[in-house]
Amino acid sequence: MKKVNTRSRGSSKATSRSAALEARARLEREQEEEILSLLRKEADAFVPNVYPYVKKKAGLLAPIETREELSLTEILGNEGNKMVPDLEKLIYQKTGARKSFRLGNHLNFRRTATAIGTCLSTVFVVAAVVTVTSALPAGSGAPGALIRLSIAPASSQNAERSLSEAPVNPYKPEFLLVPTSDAKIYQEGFSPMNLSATYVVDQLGSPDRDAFSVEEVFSALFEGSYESGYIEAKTPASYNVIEISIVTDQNDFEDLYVKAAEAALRKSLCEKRIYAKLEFTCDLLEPSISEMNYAEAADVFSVYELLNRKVNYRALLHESASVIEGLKKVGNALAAAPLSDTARLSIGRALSISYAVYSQRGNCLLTAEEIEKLKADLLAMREEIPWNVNPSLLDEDPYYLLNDPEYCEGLTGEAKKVSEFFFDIQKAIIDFAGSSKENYLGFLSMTAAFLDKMASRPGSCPDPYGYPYDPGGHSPGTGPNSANWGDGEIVLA
Amino acid sequence: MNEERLEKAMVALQKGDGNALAEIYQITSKGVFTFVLPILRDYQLAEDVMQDTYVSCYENIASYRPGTNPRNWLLTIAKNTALSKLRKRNKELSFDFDSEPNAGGVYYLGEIDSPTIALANNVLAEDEFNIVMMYAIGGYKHKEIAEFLHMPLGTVTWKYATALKKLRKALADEESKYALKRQLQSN
Repeated sequence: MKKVNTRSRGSSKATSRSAALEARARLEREQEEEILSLLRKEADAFVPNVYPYVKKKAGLLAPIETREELSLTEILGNEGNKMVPDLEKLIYQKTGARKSFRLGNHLNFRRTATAIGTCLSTVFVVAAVVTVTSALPAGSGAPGALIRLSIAPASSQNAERSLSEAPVNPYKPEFLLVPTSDAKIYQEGFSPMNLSATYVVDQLGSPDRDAFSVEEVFSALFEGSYESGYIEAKTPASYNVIEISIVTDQNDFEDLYVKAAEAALRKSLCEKRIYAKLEFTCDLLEPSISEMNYAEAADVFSVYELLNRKVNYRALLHESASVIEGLKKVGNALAAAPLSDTARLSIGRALSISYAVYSQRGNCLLTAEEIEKLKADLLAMREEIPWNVNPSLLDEDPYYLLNDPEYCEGLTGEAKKVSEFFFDIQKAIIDFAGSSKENYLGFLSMTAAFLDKMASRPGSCPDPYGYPYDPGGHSPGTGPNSANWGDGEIVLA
Repeated sequence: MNEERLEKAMVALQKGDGNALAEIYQITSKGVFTFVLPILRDYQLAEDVMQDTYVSCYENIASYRPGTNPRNWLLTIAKNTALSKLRKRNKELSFDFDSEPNAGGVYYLGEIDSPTIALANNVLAEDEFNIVMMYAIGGYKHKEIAEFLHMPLGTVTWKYATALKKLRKALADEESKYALKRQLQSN
């Protein structure tokens, strides 16, 4: 009988099985790769290309016109001027009559259009205001409309985006103008009286005058700021942001005036070759603002803006004077504090939440001592806080308003835990402030004092989103027409 | 490599280089789209969310902290945007009694020029489709997909293997149908 080597047969069986398994696995891998490759080839067709829309929405396209379009407009304008006969001259020769003013002549596309463009924008925005005020009895001293104006120069936009490069432009004009029914703005009608508002008033002011026309204010703002560097003629990728919000009690105001004003301002910016994202909003508010005097209106509206427009406007109208005064002080301090926009919004958010809690007189689960203990615990964990912080600030209640949970959602690990702890303390502070009027007023005064302290100590900025600006380090702006047009910062005279 | 490029682009955008947004978009768009599609289950809505995500990325770039995970930061924005869009849509849909369920597959993909993906949409279960799309197109690892979809890693790999088998069979069926059709035409 032949001896069979079963061990060797078993082994060869196992080898062939493993070879078969390997071959099968290879085949499966090949088939997998084939399918994956089929899917990947279709990926470009499947995943929508939304980048052109993103670019447009983010303002990375020229918000007004591209360079090519601008030059084309200029060519057409110049050619148009040559082609259209000067009828005025002809009429004068034939009849001796001269037209007093022809807008078309001033709207050519020459370099000299810059100044006219500035005036044009002024005229149209002012026209809107005058129209709404004209419905009210002249000279009554009651406010007719409220204009919130903000210009974010391109350089400040860049600074906002950068964590490593310092200056946030402190001369960002952002304040409310409250014209009376006869279109006059008193100094008290500027709110808050920040550096930008002071600048405009200084430009206009003389000791014997405390009221200005709306036209004068806008002229000072656009012309002065244009020359001194608020607005910068930049590339399409780096643009100014101009926001104009008009608040009125007239239903058809937006349809009647705002659209035309917006179109005119766009055209004017286009002529000046200024890239700007222009945002017009028109809010309708009741009850009628004309029932208030302008000083009250300025106070209430500055508080309304401070709270990021997140509160019930009616509630503010009936709020006690001490609370409005407390909030206004915070607003004024915030206007001068060296913080990034993100931090300002965070403060606004925290203030609006605290106001909502206060107006409902919420319950606070923790005592002041317990909150102090939480702060001490956080101090012990300060190394884990994902931004630079001066430990002494962790003792200050208002510091906890400077951060917003949404901006920390991307954090992980210990950084996330410590941020959540930070927000727990923020919530406890807000709850405590909202539990009584006394606590709330104390909270407001503490916040105003904190912001004042920040403003007086440049370099100690606690802003987790950026670094402080250096108010002493600005170079004078030289105007966009100058050869050495700088980065748009100005020095107040 | 992509992670390094992404980090560089994020920092450049923070410094005001608007062109860096294009780079960020190019590196991450597929990942973002395949990430939000399972949340929204609607192609058009996912497209809108993708648009809002990148705009929001641009507007909030100051809050990005260099050195942290840029992809996660972006996906957090995408997720929040998707959830808020979903809440808004659900509010609107609760009044829309005429709305019809999607016909023919997991998602309504509209007129897309992607026959294999359309086939996958028709033959795979929803989870399977999501996993395959995230892996093949989004470029995510199985472990990441498990985290996103809140599933155990084993389930993800098992579903992925099942999905590929189904897809392989469906492709073979399609191929034989196509061959038969050609044969009939030539006869």
